[in-house]
Amino acid sequence: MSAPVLTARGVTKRYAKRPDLIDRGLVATGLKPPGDIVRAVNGVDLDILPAEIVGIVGESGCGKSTLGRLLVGLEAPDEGRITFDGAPVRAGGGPAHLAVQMVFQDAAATLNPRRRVGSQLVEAPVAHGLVDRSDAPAFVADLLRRVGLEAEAAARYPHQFSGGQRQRLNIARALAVAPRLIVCDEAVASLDLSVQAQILNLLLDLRDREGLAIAFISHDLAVVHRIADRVAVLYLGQVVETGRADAVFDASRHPYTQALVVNRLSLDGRLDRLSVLPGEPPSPVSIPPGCLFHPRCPKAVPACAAAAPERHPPAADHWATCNRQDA
Amino acid sequence: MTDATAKADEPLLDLSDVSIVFDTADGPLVAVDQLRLRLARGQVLGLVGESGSGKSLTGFAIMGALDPPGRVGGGRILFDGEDLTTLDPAALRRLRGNRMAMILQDPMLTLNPTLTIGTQIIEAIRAHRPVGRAEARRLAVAAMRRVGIGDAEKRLDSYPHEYSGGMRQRVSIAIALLHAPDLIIADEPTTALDVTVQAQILLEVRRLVEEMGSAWIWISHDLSVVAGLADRIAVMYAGRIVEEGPARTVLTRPRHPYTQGLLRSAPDNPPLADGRLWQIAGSAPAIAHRVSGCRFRPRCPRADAACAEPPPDSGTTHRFACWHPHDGEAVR
Repeated sequence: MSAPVLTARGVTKRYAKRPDLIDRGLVATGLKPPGDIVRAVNGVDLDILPAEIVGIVGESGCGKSTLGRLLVGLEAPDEGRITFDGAPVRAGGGPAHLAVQMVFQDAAATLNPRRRVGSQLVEAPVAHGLVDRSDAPAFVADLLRRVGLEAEAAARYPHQFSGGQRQRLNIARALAVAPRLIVCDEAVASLDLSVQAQILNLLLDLRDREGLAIAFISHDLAVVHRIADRVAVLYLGQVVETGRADAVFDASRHPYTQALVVNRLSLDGRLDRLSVLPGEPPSPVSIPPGCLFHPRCPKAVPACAAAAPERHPPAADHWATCNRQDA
Repeated sequence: MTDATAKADEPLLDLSDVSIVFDTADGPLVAVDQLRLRLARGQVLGLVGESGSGKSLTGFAIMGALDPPGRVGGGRILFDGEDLTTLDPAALRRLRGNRMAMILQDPMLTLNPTLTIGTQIIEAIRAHRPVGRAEARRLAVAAMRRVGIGDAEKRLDSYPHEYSGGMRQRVSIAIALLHAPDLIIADEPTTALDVTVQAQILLEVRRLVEEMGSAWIWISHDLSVVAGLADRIAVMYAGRIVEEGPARTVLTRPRHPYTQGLLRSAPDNPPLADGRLWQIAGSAPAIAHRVSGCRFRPRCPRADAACAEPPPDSGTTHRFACWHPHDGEAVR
């Protein structure tokens, strides 16, 4: 097995509201409790290998987007470390800052509407000395071809492309500085089904043809199942289950993953198959003690509220943080 | 035959040759045309299509809620025998929220953030029913219980921002159902919700469909959402209905190549031999770039010279507009 391109160990990110003068006064005089702390990402371990697609799935508020921002160095973790090829990923710079790139959901928001596509795509590689300005046309033509667009596209403006083509441009923008890992945050979520399939196929091609590693963040289990080699399931900022995609989805170990899988809709139209979980994901401000999932878990016993669960089975490729594996 | 049975036989909603146009500086732009659709009482119709196909516009047109410069350009929209396109605004207002109601994707656009949930539900009750405040409050609690909101009495006094996304959408469903409307148009109401919350709400809706006997038009880009609710499914492409029929038949034995391509490109299909997903070439055209004849032909693997002419509308209970339809073989 080749060495991971990216490794995260014990990564934690907290956010707190910055208290204003009145808040500070009230807290100091004991009239108000100290501010809430949001634990967005809470002790995550993750490895991403070359030419591997790792799916990061979970519902809103589970911390998957924050984790993505940490992986590319847009933010620094409060605890733990993220390394790229053994060197630390640092917010705002470091050796990894070109090698890890991000693709966002809203392609229109990442492209400048007033500039031709070609000049936007070549700007970053020229600025970083990766491409000579005289080679720009050939560079852009090659980049566009890699994402399935014609070289003529370089002369057009972003609004002259369809939503799917704009997402291709967005991927080209990320590829322009020759990254080895791209982090896709809900990159196909707003695309129509027929176009979504095209973009997923493009990502699979980039993995196979160019050895690109991809962290694929999504709420859509069916999409992740189809595209990912390995999967990490996030709940309230923690990885509750990870393993090969087929193993996680076809033989889920964690009751939360099982709930996600059974409640995913399919074209067979059978709603009687659904098994509703009580409640909704709690806010990351008030994280329950013990197992994070126990208040909603159909298998929970009183012990689950007492102690945080271990990984079962320990030291396996496919594990879940649940103490009720035999239940 | 008595009047009552005649009425039961006639469709609740009957759209014939409806078009929706936008008036622009360059002349009218036809967004939707040749729309033909019938909906029986108590029936659930899934209206599916990709962005820009005209499915939401169709919903707004039926509600008489198209925003200018959009307008109904022609055709008839018969609701319980009455042509909605000729009704005056006051008559339409008496129908809306009362005999027909709409649920939108983003409940924050439906709910006023500065008023409590209770105030808003009570207002919607008293708009169509002459009841006192206390009675209206009692009805509001019942309406919230009906959509599965526990602790309804207390939660009436909360503001929308104190509700989660799933709870807010339950409230907008509760408001739509207040006056037991004959027709409910739901435009992607579960699209923005998480998997586990979407499952909860779809099961509630399914129960309400059976309990209340309203007819629904459930608009969605997601065939798997519609699959669990709809009796019939209509598929729109580039402003036209290309296929319409019993839900099971459309989902398993589609006749139109677009429907078949859509079903095969869904990620819950097994992968192709090379590990890739099935894909339809190209993308849906913008309104100004729609071709003559069959609008799907630039992307269609079956297209030939014949497709430059408008395709015939074939079939009766299962309709499809295609020169070279599939012969009804199973796709899955």
